Amino acid sequence: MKHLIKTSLICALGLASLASCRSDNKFKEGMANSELLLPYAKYLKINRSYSTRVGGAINPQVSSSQAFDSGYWGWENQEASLSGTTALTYRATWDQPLPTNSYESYYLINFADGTWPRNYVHTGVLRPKEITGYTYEDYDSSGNVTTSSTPDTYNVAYDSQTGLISAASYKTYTTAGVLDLTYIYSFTTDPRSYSDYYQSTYAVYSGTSLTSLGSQATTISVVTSGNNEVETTTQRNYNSSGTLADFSYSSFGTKNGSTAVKYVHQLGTYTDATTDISSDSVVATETWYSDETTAIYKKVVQSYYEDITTRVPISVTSSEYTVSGGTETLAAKTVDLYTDGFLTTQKVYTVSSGVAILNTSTVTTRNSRGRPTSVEVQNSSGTATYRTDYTYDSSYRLETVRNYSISSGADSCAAGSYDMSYTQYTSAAGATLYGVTKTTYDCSGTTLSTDPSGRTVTTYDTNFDKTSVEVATYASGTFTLTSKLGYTYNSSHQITQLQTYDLTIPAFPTEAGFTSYLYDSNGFLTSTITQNSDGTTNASYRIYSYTYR
Amino acid sequence: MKPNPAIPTWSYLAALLLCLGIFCLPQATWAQQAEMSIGLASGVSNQPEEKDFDRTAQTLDLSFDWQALRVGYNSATSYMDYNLYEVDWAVQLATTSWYGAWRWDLTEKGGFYTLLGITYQTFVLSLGSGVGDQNSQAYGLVYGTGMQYDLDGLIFGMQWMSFKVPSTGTKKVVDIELATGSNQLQLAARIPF
Repeated sequence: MKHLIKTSLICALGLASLASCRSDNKFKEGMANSELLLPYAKYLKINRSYSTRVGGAINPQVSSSQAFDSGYWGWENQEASLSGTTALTYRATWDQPLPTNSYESYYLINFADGTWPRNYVHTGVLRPKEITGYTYEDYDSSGNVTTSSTPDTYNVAYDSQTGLISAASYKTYTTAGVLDLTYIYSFTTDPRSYSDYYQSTYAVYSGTSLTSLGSQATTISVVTSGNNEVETTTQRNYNSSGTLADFSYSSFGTKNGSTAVKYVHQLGTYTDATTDISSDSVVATETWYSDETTAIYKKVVQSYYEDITTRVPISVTSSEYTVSGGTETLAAKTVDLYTDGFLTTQKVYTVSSGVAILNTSTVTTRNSRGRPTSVEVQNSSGTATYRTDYTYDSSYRLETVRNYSISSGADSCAAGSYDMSYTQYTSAAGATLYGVTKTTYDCSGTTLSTDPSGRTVTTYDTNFDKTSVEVATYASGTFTLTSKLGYTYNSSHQITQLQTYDLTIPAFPTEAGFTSYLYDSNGFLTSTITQNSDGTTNASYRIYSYTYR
Repeated sequence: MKPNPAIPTWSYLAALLLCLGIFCLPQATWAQQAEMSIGLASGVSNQPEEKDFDRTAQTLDLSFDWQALRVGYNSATSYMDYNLYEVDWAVQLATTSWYGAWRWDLTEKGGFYTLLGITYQTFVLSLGSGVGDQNSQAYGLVYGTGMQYDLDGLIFGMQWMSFKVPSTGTKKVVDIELATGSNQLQLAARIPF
């Protein structure tokens, strides 16, 4: 008996150990390589989250699962630059770390094969590092201190228990040292998942008696219903008596002939359909009111997506309405249509007596990589009236842009045509540098002039920061420099010096005056100082000092 | 229905075993092999070839014994949470196995036994996040061992079963190779008749 028990236990343990020793099939690896999930493999990922209090240089880096287009280093007006084949660095800055400042952006950029990522990334609401306030010193052009004996003050208060920001005050004084204006801001915890707090009241007072000049109150709420979510921001303006009225310091303006005193912004994200909204859509509705309940103007932007999680757009319809006596009358309308996520048709309507009539259509034709090859403007009859053609070089960068007016089917030259060329070279120190040349052409009658009209050469350093911009005109076979600016940056890609040049002899520009930009250790701008070529200051300036928590 | 991850399935089984031990074992005797019986077993399982399935898995087994032949139905579900491509994937593998096995008694009284047989298994792989469920099937081996007590005509025991199903190979779930074999440890109850 004991022998059998022992035998069976040994058998069981042996089988179990044999079974557990089987090699791992690595299912996760299989998922990652599965074609089934390939559509999900194209995505963007942002490294910063809303909760990060950022410094003055806001450089959120976006990484991706696939290579971005390496040919895109030469973007004109680029808002981001490649910081690796699968990473982009976006560039943004703010000057002061005031708690009323915020930065929120959406990024969507195509991959090397011209396809969109399956999502766009959102920075959330980024806020600057926490300060308790600031002081400053004023200087004249000779560098002498001229600060008032009663300088303006800025203070920030935090809840002593929770540590969360609660209020801020900004006080200005007259030259006689008398309190002039007092700005009071209060803050509330934000119910939106991508934001820490929001400014809930903004009030302005006058004089030492703090006479109210009016105020603005803001509330934000989030209502979730199943998979759908609606964020509602309601703002009301009040006059000095606390009555709904215009508040000139943050006015909603005039809408439909009346002063708007209340503004409501609703942002609905609908994963599931409702009775009147399709699934996979985002609906942004702005409504202006002349009193608490009387709507006077409304704007609705409806965006439909192939899938709400991928944010690949199908169409975006923007409609504006005047509202009188509760009746909404269409006032303006545009429709954007997308194919495979790319904008292909934009329709602009003229509205007469509430009826929308197609005015123009802008039809974009794209190559296999999603780049536009032609953009044609058509009138209400569908007849082409204007066209821009684009070509690209072997690295998929923009090469030529040609504009045409079209009449009776015949093309004729239109202003604004240009060529782009790109150079990449190595500096004496071994760094890779970049140059982009934009050469412009005028029309000669109905055809493009063979001679250029001018050119702009922009150079970039190895970090893709713009280092110089040279503008030249062309005449008699020669380009003549008409302006030149040089840019210097710190390691956070913030400009530290803007250099101007003396072009008395255009072929030999010499350094002239420059502007220096000073930052504190958190990257916030403390001063902007204009200086002569010898470094002496030539204008008054102010230097801020921020105190952080 | 996924188990509450806060309370693993095995903790319920352990509690049940403890109760049985306290109240019943003093009166128990080794179970005799019955001519016919039906049995129900439940417990936990793991997939030795798919170690990524890391969350507690559950199993249910229903079987019929006739002399030395056991035929049975077995279901097992295992889970995995995985963040891939910025998507949280709630992966669930549900296997349903029909098996026939010979049962050999290791003791004269039938208190200990081993099993060896073949199984036909169908399975459903659910990835979640909008991707449709994937189905496939395979043949394999089943073997195991167990011990059982007779509690006044009702038989209780524990058993270990192993389903050895070759990785799907040519029967890939779409293009993901998947091995659905499992080891299962179960508490079992049988009614002889």
